[in-house]
Amino acid sequence: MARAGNTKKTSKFVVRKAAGSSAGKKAVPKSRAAASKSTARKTSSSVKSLKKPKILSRISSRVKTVRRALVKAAKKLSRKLPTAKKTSAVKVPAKKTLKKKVSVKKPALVKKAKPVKETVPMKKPAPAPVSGKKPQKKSPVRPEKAPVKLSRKEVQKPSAPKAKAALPAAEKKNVRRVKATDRSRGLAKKEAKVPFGDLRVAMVKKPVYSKIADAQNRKPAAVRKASPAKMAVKKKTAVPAASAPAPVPVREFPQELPSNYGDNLIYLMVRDPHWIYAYWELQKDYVEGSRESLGGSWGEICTVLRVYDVTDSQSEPAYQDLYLGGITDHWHINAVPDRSYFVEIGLLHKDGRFLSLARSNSVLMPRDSMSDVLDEQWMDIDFDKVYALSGGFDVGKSSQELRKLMQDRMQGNASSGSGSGVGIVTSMSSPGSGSWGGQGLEAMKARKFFFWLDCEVIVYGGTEPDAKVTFQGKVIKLRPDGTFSFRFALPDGNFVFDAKAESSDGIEERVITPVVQRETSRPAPVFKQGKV
Amino acid sequence: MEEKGFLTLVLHAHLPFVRHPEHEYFLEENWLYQAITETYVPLIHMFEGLQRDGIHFRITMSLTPPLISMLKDPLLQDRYVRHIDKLIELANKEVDRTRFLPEYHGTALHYYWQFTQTRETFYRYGRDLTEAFKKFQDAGVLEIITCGATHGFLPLVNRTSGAVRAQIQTAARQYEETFGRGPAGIWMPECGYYPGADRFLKEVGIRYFLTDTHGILHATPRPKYGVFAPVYCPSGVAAFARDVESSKQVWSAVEGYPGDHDYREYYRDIGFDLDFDYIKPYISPDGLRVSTGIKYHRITGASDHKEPYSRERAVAKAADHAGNFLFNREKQAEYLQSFLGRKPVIVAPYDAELYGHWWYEGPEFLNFLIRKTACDQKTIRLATPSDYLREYPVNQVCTPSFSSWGWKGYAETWLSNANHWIYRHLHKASLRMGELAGRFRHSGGLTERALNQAARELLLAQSSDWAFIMHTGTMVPYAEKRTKDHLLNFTRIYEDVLQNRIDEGWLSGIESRNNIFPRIDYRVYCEN
Repeated sequence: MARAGNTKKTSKFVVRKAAGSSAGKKAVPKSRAAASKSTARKTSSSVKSLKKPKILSRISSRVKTVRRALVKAAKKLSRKLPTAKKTSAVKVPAKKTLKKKVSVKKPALVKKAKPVKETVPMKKPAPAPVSGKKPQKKSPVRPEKAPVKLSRKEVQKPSAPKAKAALPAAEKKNVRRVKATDRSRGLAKKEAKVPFGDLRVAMVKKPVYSKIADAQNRKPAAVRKASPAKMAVKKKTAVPAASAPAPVPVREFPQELPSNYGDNLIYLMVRDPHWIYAYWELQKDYVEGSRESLGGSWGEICTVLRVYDVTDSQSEPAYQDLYLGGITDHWHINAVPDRSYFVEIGLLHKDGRFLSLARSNSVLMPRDSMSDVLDEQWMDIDFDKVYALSGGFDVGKSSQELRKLMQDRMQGNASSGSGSGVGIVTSMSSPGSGSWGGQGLEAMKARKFFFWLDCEVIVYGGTEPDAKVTFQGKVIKLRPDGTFSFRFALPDGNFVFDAKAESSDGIEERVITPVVQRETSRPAPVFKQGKV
Repeated sequence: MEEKGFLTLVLHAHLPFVRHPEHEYFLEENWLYQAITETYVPLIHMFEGLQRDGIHFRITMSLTPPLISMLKDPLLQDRYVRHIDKLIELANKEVDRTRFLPEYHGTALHYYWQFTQTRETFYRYGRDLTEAFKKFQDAGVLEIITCGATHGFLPLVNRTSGAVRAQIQTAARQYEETFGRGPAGIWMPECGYYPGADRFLKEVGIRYFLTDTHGILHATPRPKYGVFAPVYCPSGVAAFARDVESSKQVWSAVEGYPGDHDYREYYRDIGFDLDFDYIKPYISPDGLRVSTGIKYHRITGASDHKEPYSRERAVAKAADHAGNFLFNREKQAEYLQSFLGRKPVIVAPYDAELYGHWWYEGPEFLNFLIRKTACDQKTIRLATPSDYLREYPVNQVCTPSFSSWGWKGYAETWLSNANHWIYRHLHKASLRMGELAGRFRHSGGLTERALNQAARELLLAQSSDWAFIMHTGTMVPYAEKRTKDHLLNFTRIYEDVLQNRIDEGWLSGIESRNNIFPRIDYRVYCEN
C-alpha cells in the first residue's frame, strides 16, 4: 500500500508537471485493480461516513486535520512520510480502505511541500480557521445528511442529488470501469482527496499549521480520545459495505481536473521573444495506430516535435526536429524573435519517415529590440536617443523589483514578526544608510538570531458600582459591577498608580497606591565558545 | 514659462474576487478590507480635500471589475464594517495602552482618528465606495478606466476569440451599469497586450489602453516619439506606454521613495509584536497572527533596529519627495519637448495599493504632488490620456509589441513551472463554452441560468491572480483551489447541460457564492 501511496504521489506530481500522465494512470489502476469492487465501495462509503453523523464528522474532520498536522510536522522533521504510523492505527479488513484514505493525504502533503514558502507554517495565514468554519458549515450540510445515516446504500445515494457532496475520487474507480469508453466525460484523476465540491471539507484540508495552533489551543485530549471511536465507526461502516447490493446509479463528481480530455491536439503559446511553450494531448490508441501505419517498432520510432519556421512564406518551410525525452505533455521551444513558427508532433522513424500526429497553431514571436521598419512620415528624429530616453535599455527590469516584492507581501499577507523580516526589508531601505555601525564581528552580524521582550502592567480593582474612582488624577468609568481594569505598556521608569475611591454618599474615601518600577538590563549577546 | 508637457498618473486598483459566504471569517478577504482602509478611503479623502480647496487635477484610475463587484457586494460591506469596528476598538485600547509611551502614543491617536474617519466616510457613501469614485468622475477630476472582467492575462487565455471578447465586453457592461457611461479607456490586465487584442477594445468603443514601455518602443514601425506620445493601433485604438523614469523613482527597490527611513515600517505590526492574549481578538480566529494595520515603527535603516514612527516627520518627508518628483518631471518635460518638438506625455502608472497599503505615506505624497503641480509651477500639467488625445488627435500608426509589465516583460510570470498546467484546462473550457453558447444560443430558464453561471466560473478561473500566486509561491493552495474549483464547476455545468440534467439545488449554491456579474450574458462567447 505504501506503493499505492507513492504511486498516487507520483501521479499527482505528474499531473502538475506534465510528464508521465500515462505512467500515473498505469500505476493507479494497478492498485485499483488490486482492490475489489467492495473495497472501493468501502472506501467511498467510509469516506462518506465521515460526513454522516454530526459529532463524528466534527470529530473526524478535527482528527483528520490534527492527524494531518502531526503528519506534516513529523514529515518536516523526518522528511519521510510516516506511512507506518498511520497504518498501525488501523487494523481491520477495511485497512486497505483506510490506508487509501490515509495515503490519499500524502499527495496533498507532498503537493503542499513543493512550493518553498509553504514549508514555513507560521508564515502563511490559514485560509479558513476551524472556529470560523464550524458554526457556519454544519448548518447547511447537516439537514441534508441527517436522513441519510441509515444504510450503506442510502449513504451512497444522496451524494447524487445533494448539491454540495462531491464524491471522493475513490468512488471514481467504479466510474472508470463503467465509463472507460466515455470519452466525453473525460477520465477523472483518481486522487481520493477530500472532495472539492464540498468547500467546508476542502477548507479543512488546507490549513495544517493552523490546526497545529488549534490543536494546541483547544482540547487535544478530547480529539485524540475521539479518534479510536472514529476509527471504530469507520471500521464498522466499512465492513458492511462488502455486502451491499447492486449499486443505484450515482452521480460522480470529480475532484481533480482530468488528465485527459480525449483529444489529439498540440497548442503553442508565446512566453517571450525567445521561448514558445507547447502543450499537447495524444490518445494512446491513436498513437499506437499511427505507429502501426508508419510501420516499425518503438525501438525504431520516436516521438518528435517538428518545428517549422514559416516567417518567409515558402512552400517548403525549414524545420527542426526536437526529440522528446521521456513521457511528457509539454515542452519549451527555443525560438528566434520576430519569426513565425508552427509545430507538428509526430513519429519519426529511424529511416527518416515522419508521420504527423497533430499540428499546432502558428505563432509570431515578438521582437526583443526596436523595429527595423521605418515610417517616413514619422521618422525625422534620432531614434536611438528617443529609445534611450524612453528607458529602452531597462526593459523588463526597472519597475519589477519593488513591485514584485510588494505584490508578494500583498498576496502573502503574512510576515514574520519583528526582526525576522529584515532580509526582505533590507531591499526597501534607501541606500547609504550605512548604519550597520561596525559593531562586533562580521560573522556574528550575519546571524539572524533575535530575542525581544517587553512588559505591560494590568491594574484592576473594584468598588461599589456607584462610587467615584479616580486613577492618576483622572475620573474613570466603572463597569456595572463596580470593577475596572487598565492595561499599559510599561517602559523603564518609576510609575505611581495612585487610585482613589470615594463612596457615593461622599463620606468615605480610600486610597491605594501601588508603585511599579521597571529597570531593564540588556547585556551584550553571549557567543558560546567553539560553536560558531 | 509655458506648458511643456503632461503628467498622466494612473492608479490601478485591483483585487481578485474573493468572497466566501460559507465561512464566517476568511483570511484572504482581508486583502479587500485592508485596501479599503489604507488605500481607497485615503484616496477618497485626498480627492475630497482637493475638491474642497479648488485644486485643479486630472487623475486616471482603473477600478477592475472584480474590485467593483466586491465593493458593491452587501455581504462584504457588512464584513468590512465588522472589520473596521474591531480595528477601532483595538485602536482605542492602544491609545490607553500607550499612555506611558509618549513616542508611540501620538501614533496610536493617529490610528484612532484614521479608523473612525474611515468608517464615517464608508457610511457617507452608502457603504459603496464606487459611488465616491463615480462622483469624482462626474465632477470631471477623475477618469475611471476599466480592466479585464476577471483580470485574465489575455495573451495566455486567448485560445478562442470568445474568451477575450467575454473578458472585455463583460467588463464594459459592468462599467456602464456602475458609472452610467461607457469606458473611455482600459487597463489591460498586467498590461498584457498581444497584437490584435485591440480589435476587441474597439468593439466596445474603448479609445485607449496602456502598455508597458517596450510595448510601444518595440512597435512596428518605430514610434517616432518613443513612449512620450501614444500610437494608434491599426484598429484605431490608441496605446500609451509607461515612462521608466517616473516609475523608477517610486518603484525602485534601491532608489525609490517608499524605502526612506522616515516612512512607516511595514513589518512591525502589533499583530505580531504584542502579547498574544491581548491581540487575540484582532488576529485570525484560529490564533494565527496576522497584520492588523497598526504599526508603530519607521524603517530607520537596514538593520533590525526600528525607531518609533513619527507622523509629522513622515508627512514632511512625503512633501519633500513630492517636490523632488515634480522637479524631475519638469526637467524631463522641458528637455523632451525641446528635443521631440511636441509636448510629451509622461505616463506614470502604479498599483493603487502602493499608495497607502505598502507605502503608508503614499496618499500624502500624491496629495502634495497634485497640489504642488497645480500651484507651484507651470511647466507640466496633470492630464488623462483622453486629454492628451484631445490636444494631439493625430498620432502615428504602429502595431505595439506583445508585452506585459510582469517580471521580464512578457508572459513568464504566468507561464512558469508552477502554473503552466492550468492552460490546457482553461483553453479546453473556453472551447467548450464556445460550443455551449453556440448550441444553446436561444435558451431560457434553468438552462440559461446554468450557462450564465458557466460563463462566470470560466471567467473566475481565468483570473491572472491565481497563476501569479502560484508563481510567487505565497498562497499557492488557495490559488490552486480556486482554479480547480471554478474549472470543475464549469465542467460539471457543461456536462449537465449537454445531458440535460441540471441540478438546480447545486446551481443555486454556486450562483450565490460565485455571484460576480449578475447580469452576464453567456452569448458573448458565441464565435461568429
